[in-house]
Amino acid sequence: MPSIMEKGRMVKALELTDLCLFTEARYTRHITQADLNTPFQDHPMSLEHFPSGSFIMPPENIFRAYVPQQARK
Amino acid sequence: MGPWIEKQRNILDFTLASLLRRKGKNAALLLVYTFIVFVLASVMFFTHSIKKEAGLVLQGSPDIIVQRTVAGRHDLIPASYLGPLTKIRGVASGRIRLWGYYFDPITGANYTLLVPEDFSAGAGAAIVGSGISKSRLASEGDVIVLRAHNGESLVLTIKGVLSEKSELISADLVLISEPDFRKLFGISKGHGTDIVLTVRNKKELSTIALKITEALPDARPIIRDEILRTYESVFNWRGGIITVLLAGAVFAFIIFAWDKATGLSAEERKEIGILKAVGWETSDVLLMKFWEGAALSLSAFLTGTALAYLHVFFASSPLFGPALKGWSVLYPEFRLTPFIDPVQIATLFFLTVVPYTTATIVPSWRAATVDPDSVMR
Repeated sequence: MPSIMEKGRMVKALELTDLCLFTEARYTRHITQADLNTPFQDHPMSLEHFPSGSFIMPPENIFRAYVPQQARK
Repeated sequence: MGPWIEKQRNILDFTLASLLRRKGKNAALLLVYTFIVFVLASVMFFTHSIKKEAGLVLQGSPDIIVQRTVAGRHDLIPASYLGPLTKIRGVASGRIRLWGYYFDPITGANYTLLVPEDFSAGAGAAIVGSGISKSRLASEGDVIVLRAHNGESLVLTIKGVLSEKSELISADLVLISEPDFRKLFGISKGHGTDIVLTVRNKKELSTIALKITEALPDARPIIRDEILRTYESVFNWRGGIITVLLAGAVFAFIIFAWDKATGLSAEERKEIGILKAVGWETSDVLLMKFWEGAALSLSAFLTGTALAYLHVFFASSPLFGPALKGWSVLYPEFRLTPFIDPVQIATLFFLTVVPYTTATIVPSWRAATVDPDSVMR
């Protein structure tokens, strides 16, 4: 637990958002900061090609149809 | 109570002796069984503790992060966005955050460059994560040279290395000053990477996020709950290619175990016949088969789970290493804090021990109810 508290303090001080698990691509390094179409970053038919992309699930919102905030109301 | 326990002990004794008589066959089954439990338990331990650790560690991440998206991509955010954002009722403060990625051609690794709010080391200095320190063989007092956007070299003196204990969040970090960051990437004073907001009442986070998208339609707010939820769902152990690969192995094992448990060999049938002939009741035979299944599956379950614990929490999951590392050069060597979910252990127990034990009883019951004379023939 002390190491978790130490990490927690660092997250707060440096305003970090993600765990440093996969440094191979920007959307695997910062999973929570990736935009909605990152796996197709180069062109629409460019499929995900990083090995760690197969290890993690796509973000939750990918499974939902995208509805702009205004239209949701 | 005494005679009952004595009877169970004697039957168990007989069962173990009978298992040892078919050493090779049972050892092979035990080995495969243990391996399956080991892999499944490793995945469970790893994913559960990483989710738990992420949840605890990232509690301190910013309340709201506001990104600007242009053509579906994260873009630099103008400093002028800070005004309208801080004017939203409920927002206590806001700050432009500067961070980005740097590909180091020397090591072939990607670094995350970040400008902390209070960077006391000053311009020309850097504080690096222990992963970078190891891969560049650089420690305090050494210099690292980064290539700026215009081809010029930026020389930074390492003023400190972040602790190894925090490698899970800081292995690839390079903390530098604001002027150095802007010089390196050519980002003007009027722009930043994103904006972090502090909110007074945490219950209002989603309302404020809605107000942000109304005030600045090209902005994308990310609230802390979303960050925590992402880590909750990302490592869902039912998801991902690992489970797909595992499914094949698990089904192969199910067929193997089913075949072993349900099909009695001629030798085993003969054994049951002899036991019946010397006066064993059908219930005694079933009890013996129950103990046989339980001894085998419990040993596999306990050994597999214990090995998985050692694998994940002491050896830092070397089996998942290649999948986790992917193509990244810089990979944190972290040791997870052991968090175990009793429900998951119970699930694993009921999915492995119970079906196997019951599967061994049914065919024995069939053999035990037949006339001993015909079974022995």
